Amino acid sequence: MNHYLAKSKPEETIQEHTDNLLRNYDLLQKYYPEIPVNWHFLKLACLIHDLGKMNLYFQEKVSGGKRNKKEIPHNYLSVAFVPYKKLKEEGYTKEEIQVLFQAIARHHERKIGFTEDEWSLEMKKLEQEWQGFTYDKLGEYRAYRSHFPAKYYQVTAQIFEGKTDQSMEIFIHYVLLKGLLNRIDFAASADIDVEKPNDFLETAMAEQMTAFRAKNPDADWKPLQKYMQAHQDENVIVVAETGMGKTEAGLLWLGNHKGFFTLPLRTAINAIYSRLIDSETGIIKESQTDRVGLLHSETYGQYLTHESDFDMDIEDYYTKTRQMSLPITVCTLDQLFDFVFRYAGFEPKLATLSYSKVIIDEVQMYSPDLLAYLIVGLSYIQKVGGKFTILTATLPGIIPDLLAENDVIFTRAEEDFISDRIRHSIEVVHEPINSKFIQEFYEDNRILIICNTVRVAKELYKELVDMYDAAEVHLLHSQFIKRDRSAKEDAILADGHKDSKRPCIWVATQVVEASLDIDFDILFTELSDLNGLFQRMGRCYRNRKLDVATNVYVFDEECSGVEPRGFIDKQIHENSKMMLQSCHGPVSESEKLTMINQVYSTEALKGSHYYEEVTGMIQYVKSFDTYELDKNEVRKRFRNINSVAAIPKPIHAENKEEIAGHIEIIKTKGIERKAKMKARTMLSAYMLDVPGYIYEKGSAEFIKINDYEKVIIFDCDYDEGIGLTPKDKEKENLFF
Amino acid sequence: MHIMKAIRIKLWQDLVNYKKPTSFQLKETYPLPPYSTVIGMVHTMCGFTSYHPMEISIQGKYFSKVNDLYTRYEFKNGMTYDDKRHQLKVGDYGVGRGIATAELLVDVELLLHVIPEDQDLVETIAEAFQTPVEYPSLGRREDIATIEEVKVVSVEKITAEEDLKLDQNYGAYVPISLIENEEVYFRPHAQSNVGRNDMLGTRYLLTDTYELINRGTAKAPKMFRNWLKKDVFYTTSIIISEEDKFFVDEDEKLVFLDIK
Amino acid sequence: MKSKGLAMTIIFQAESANYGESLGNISALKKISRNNGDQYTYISRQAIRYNMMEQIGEKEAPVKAEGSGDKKVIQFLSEATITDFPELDFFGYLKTEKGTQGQKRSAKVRLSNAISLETFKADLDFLTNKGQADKVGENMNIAQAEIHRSYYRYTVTIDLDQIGIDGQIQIDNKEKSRRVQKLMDTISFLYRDIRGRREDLKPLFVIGGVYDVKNPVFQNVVDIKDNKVLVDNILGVLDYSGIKENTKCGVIKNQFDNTSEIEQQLNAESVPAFFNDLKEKIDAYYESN
Repeated sequence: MNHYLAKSKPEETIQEHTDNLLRNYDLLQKYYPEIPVNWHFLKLACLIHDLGKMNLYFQEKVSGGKRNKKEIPHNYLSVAFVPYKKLKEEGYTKEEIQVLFQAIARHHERKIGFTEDEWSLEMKKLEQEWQGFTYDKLGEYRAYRSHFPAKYYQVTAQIFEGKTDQSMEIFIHYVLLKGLLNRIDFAASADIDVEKPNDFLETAMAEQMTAFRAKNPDADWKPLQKYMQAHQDENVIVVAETGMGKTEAGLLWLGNHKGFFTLPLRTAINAIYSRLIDSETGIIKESQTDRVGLLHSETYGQYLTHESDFDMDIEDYYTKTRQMSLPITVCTLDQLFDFVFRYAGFEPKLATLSYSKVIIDEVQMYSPDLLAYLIVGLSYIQKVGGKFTILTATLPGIIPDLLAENDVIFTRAEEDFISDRIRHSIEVVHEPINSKFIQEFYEDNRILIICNTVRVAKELYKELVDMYDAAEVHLLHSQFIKRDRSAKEDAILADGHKDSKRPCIWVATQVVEASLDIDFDILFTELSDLNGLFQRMGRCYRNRKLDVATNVYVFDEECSGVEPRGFIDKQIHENSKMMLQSCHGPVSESEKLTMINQVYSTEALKGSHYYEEVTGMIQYVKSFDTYELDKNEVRKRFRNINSVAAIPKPIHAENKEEIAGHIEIIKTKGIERKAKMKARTMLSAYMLDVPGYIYEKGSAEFIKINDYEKVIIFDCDYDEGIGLTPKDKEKENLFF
Repeated sequence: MHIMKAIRIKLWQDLVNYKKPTSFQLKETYPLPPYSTVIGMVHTMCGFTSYHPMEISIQGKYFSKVNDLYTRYEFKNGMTYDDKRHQLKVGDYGVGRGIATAELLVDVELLLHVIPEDQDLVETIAEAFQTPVEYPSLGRREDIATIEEVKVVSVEKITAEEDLKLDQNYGAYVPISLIENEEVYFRPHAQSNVGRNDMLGTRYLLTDTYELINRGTAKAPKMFRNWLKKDVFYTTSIIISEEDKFFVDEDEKLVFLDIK
Repeated sequence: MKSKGLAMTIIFQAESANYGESLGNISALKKISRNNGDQYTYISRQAIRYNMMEQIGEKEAPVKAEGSGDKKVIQFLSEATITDFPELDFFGYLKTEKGTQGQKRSAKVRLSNAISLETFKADLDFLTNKGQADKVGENMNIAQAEIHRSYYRYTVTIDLDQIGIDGQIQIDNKEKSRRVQKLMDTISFLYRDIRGRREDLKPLFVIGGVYDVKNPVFQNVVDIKDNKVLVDNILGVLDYSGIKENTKCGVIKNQFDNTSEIEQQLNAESVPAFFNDLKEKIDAYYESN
């Protein structure tokens, strides 16, 4: 009997590796028996997927030899062992059999860099190995053939969505089969469980309630939470004011199922995650690393900060999170919804979502392109059988309309969950935002000023520093290095805490719009659009009753950052401005919702740049054929962020030694990933995202890490108070 | 399944144009001769003066395409001379002269199967190609063809024991019904990422046979050719699957027929 | 008349004899790609036909100036017939006239394009008009032209039984014979004037004959490699029925490196002998019918 290896470090035979897959297959079937995948085929796929590794070239390679140029990726050879004749006898149609062939042949995304003749030759050669290969689990499905009727399998064929219902159905079968095979295979290779069960959430929620009742016998779930609990099996869209207990409502809707909690901002995700796993007050107090994960571009760094709370190695926890094997995952939209481009290898994501429930929070925060991805994504999730809910403080009317247009079926909650409290009283000031106006209101209270652009924020800040002492005036925007920004966020949280009494003036941009739990006394803001305005108003009298004449001043003249120069849609800005003209004095929550509805209804937005962008993007995403893009290309598109992460030159000069040390660690081969990740996190503390338009005009130096990565040192001025200031080239040129 | 007799003809041409009827300034060419052209050639070679129904299967290859510049004379029959319109005066009539371009296929090889409905004609047709009465041309009159092989073969629908493919670099006209009934499968290209489950090829409506229709009166007839069209795919990338039934001749060459 | 066909495939050697459509001021030769994707130049059949009719010395299809310098083209004249004009007899016509569908005759003599047997290497000739420009003290102009000297191959086929017959018109056999023989003479001394050069298109190698079977079998087997005619290819098609016994071959001595092989394997004679032989066969055919 020959000894065939599947992996080298540590050595593992094909049979051993396959046994691991079968173990995970059993887990998946145990926890989620209702997945509409063909389980029989999935098991066969697990059994057969790596048999192609028998080929001699692979065996040479895995035993420490060189990669042979003639080697054909094993996934294209494993098909030799598909028992198609037996399956035919069992009554499967040719389309169904095609799906199994394709799922095995494409369980790795590898380009076909060989000719059909070369492939045939390798397939024939397998016969010899096959005779010496024994694996009892194959049983009656043991089969080998060097070629197949074209109707069942052609090496260059693929399964596409097609244009008919029938072809879509086959495609979904394929996505589930291949996606789950991938998940099981990854799990077996990484030595983690493909799924951890959600057998705790409903109990945990009940315990939470018991704890409340211990303090207050009359405690009960709020109406929103009860509503969500009652509609567990539906796709619902619910509008609920901040402070109505949305997170718990989402969890109650989720129940004992696999779920993804998506929010627009990383900071908000970090906050929710920390709240969930808090060992004192959290909902999930124990075995957190088997129950809940956090997924965004900086997961590892976040896990490092929590390291002491975990009972397991971060490395494994991180792997489980990335592999989506945890029952609850809190994540950003881009981590989940990039599958809308159906890039080569998207299947595991969509297959996972087919038996998951997705909770989408604060949907009004998404830019047009992300909104488009969301809508297309939900239509796919529904096609494969997944569920979703949208829980949001404000619901632009355009969203349900677009969902309906894209054949997404959902229930719109008949009532909005809002309080009748009045928190804000508005005064619209018909002038550009200016420090003189603000000056009159500063009398040892806590003032928050929000501008549309960093430029205006900096100008105001300088003026205010001249008027008052720098100790009382602070600035927060996106152009600070991470170290300083974190410090500033901590400071604003302290100053903005509802019990804080220290007088202060904070000048900020939209970075404080959401997710920072702050509560100021007066808000001065430029008008961006209505949504942004109400978000900003949430940073003032966050949870207090109105007790002054006016606490919000909106400047609606010459607002910065509006099209064509900025990012704020001109038409929406104008509509918002019109809407505010009639708005004066106290404004209730339901009035806010009514206004939003009018400004963001499909009718009002038709023809606006924003609307064109959303619908255009939806069309654009749909226009891609399946597998047309590769994964990296999609990641790039998804970032679509026109900015560059760089270290400002002065910061680099100050911390030269330390930065060089981090880079050295990242560079060095053989250092474990955790240490490298730590070094990366430390290094990124010195970085900031330089907007593209600034970066292109400036100059930069580079420190090479490896062939793919470099650290960018951007030539600019930097000040801890004011952040980045671009070098003014024209001025410099006068000296030459 | 009954067995039919066919005449299989292999032809070679050096530079040829199978004109698409709607192209003028650039005489475009079909990749293979359309049915009517082949039927016309068979009738000419045999000296038939009336239509004899026949089924035709057309496949072949060419190496490249070139655009050839030529002088074009054109006139409407019997139109009087008009100096704004015509470059040439012919008696009282006018003729236009200018340049045009013709697409030419280079080094064409064709494999034709001709199956006359009246099977008694098989010998006659084979004879006509073995000893042609005039130099055979296919395409334009000047596109002479060299006949490389004429063979009477039997054609029948068999169950394929292996996948069957076209010869190297060959393309064929595949009647659309064969594709719709999944009697043939497309062979997707490994590197293309688009439309792999769509049909791969060019769809043509090719002229097949015609009936004469009088659009005038019985006294002053105006005869028109009312063409019957064949809906086909020109494709180089098809495969017939093992286990499926398909028409082949006795040398396992595929025969593309639109008959049940 | 008994069906008879004359077919021959000819090799000649010429330089840059047919230009096509150009871009800018580089004149481009007519080209095709074949074999391994190499480029080959060709001379169109229309060009060769023009030279034949120009040099045959028969009553030419008159092209006479009218009024404003317009030209008449004989083919379109309804009163022109094959009786007067061998050109119409050989190459057919299309006439414009009232009240009919238009009179039509298809070509009986058919030519292939002459395709080069050696690849085109994109050589360019450089031309100026400096001599002329200096005379008048002007700046000169420059131009470039693609240039290619090579062996070329073309095929002539004639449906002998259809010559001299057009509807009601029946020409005397003697005249038919004279015409076709005259065409043979023209082909054996053919030349082409182009851009101030006279290119000699006379056959250096020719193979063919008069056959009962009308199939131009030599069309795609006559080829040259390293200045040798590939005899084996030709031997391969001689076995078609009715070909071998009626085929003759002519070659110019020492033009090719394998003249002796050609002479032995294909029983080649001199080119003039080939044509004399062919003319006799033509005459015999028309005599006997």
